[in-house]
Amino acid sequence: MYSVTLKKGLQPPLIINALISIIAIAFLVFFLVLPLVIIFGEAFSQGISMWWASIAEKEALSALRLTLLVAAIAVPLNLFFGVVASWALAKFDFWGRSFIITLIDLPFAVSPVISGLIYVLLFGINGWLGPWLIKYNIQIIFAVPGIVLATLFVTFPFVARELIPLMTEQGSEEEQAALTLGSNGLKTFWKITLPNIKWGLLYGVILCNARAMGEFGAVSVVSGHIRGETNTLPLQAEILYNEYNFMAAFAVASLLAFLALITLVLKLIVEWKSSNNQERA
Amino acid sequence: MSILLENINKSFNGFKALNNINLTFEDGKLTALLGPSGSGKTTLLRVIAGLELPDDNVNSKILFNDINVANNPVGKRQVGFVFQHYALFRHLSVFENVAFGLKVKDRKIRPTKQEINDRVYKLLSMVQLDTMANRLPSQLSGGQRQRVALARALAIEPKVLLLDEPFGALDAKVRAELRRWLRKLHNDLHITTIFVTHDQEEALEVSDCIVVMNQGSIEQLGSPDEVFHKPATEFVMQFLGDVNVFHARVDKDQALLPANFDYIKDTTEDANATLLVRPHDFDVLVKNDNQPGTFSVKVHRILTAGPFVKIEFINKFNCLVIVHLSHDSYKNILLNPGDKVYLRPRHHKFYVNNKESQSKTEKKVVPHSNQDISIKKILKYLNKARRLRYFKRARSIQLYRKRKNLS
Repeated sequence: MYSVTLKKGLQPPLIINALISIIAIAFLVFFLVLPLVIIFGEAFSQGISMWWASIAEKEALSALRLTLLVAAIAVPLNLFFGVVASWALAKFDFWGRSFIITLIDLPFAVSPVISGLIYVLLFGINGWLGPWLIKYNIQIIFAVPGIVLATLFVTFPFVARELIPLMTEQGSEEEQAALTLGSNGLKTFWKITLPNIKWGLLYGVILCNARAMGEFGAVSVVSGHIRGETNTLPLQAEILYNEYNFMAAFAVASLLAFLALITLVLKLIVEWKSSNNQERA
Repeated sequence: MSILLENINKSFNGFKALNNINLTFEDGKLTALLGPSGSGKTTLLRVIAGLELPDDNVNSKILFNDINVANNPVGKRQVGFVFQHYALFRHLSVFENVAFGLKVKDRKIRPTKQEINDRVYKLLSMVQLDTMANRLPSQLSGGQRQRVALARALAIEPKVLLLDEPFGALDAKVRAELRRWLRKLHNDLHITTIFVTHDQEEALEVSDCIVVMNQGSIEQLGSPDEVFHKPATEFVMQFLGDVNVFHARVDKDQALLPANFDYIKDTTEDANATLLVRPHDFDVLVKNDNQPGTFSVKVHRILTAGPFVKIEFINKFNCLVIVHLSHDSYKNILLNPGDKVYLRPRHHKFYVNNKESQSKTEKKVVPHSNQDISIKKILKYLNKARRLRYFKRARSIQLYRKRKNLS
């Protein structure tokens, strides 16, 4: 009886309930669903063949290739650094630990344009290392290495941010137990640490990959917008749009949106799997 | 295997967790490290296992059978360590957990698959879990997890078994059962075993030898009998079992006590002193026979439910004195709250500056009424502090009950 009245007391009146729900749904439709529908609608507005023609164009294909290449370099590197950093930060306590954790968040805190500028100021012709790079004929800014560097910087926190709380919560007791049983450091990492964090790690990698493919600001500063050479998909979409080539711009955008949707589905699967796992644990 | 520790110091950020520990653990004995939380007992256990390194690696020694292992890493010491929260590998089945120590061995010395299988099932049947081999740790109860952790530690055939609060996280009934089971297991295997506990009852019941620790130092080492009946320090006396504490003061050449005990101090300095009496060491007298040590009290509360009768008395300083009587001897006196009676300890311990004072001479008996004013003031102050503590505790219990009723 007590619990019934309590439940009734907690339930808002029907009108308020409906009003809040409608506002929330309208917000979602307006800001999330509608843009997605418009992207695909515009992209296919002149039929599939025209869409395919815009995608199959040389510059668009090269942009797609570059985007995938950058993600293929940046994601594994950040996977490695992220795991190493969070392992060191979560399993050990040392002086300056919290400072480093804060530092890892730096790429989130700084505007992406600034992070691009950092590299221009470092490696550009008038930058600190510019003269030296010119002497040895190494091109970083306005070339693929610069784009990779900028993407690395921007996507660095994703894996570490995902893993640090998880590993801190799990503690290091299982690793200590493995050591007392005669296991060495490497075996302990492969057999105990990694299996325990695998879902969190995958989740971090998916987010990292989504950002690596979609990054605009930092890449825009360092790429130089050379068509067919240093344009990634987001940059290509912007150029086409600025040239009033709306159909092609939306076609390229739809490609990006499609990649994002795949990422979301993967993320959903990982979330479902890891929550399943947690129920068992 | 015997274990010898020499000059072990350990501090964490300036906090001294272990203070110059010198200890010997005899071969094949079951030893308890007993102490309150923060006394350094777990740190000592981890130092033995190699999970912590002592501060001064040059002068400190850890000998396993006369071989110094202070520089050996954890994996090379061959110790079985059971963690307080078991630290089972959550993603591995019970079988894989127990087999882990065997499977990570170098290829040259690793047993064959069949051998590992046999050994694991032998251990699992020993801990009565052979039917649960395929379960995950999360599908087991606390007591079962504890036994898996033990089987896992025993799989590597350790020379020493170290257990950190082995029964801490279990409910009372399972704990008592596992306690008996551990004792039996030790009788069968005869591995040198050290376990950490804060539960004095557990230590007294299971172990061959008890090391009582406090604030990073060893207070006493001895058999359960010795530690209980001949406590070396006030701390040991207070920690092992219930005790009534009477504060007193040693002043110049006389000892001043809350009742007229005939004790003479053996120090020449002024000092605070305590007189300790276990609740079952009191005689309850209806009439004052003026023997030394007798003092008057008022009955406050009587609890007859339980194996013995617990009576709470209030003495004239408004302090609580708790007395345990057998039901038979209680039948002879039958008290009511408010009754005025007399208490006299049969046995008591007298500590000056935390050291037991043994000297009992007849020459200077100081009756209670002869106290000068300053001493009376000190006693009053001491008792006021005690009273305050008592009321604070009563208040917090009241609050707790209130909260419980509400939820």
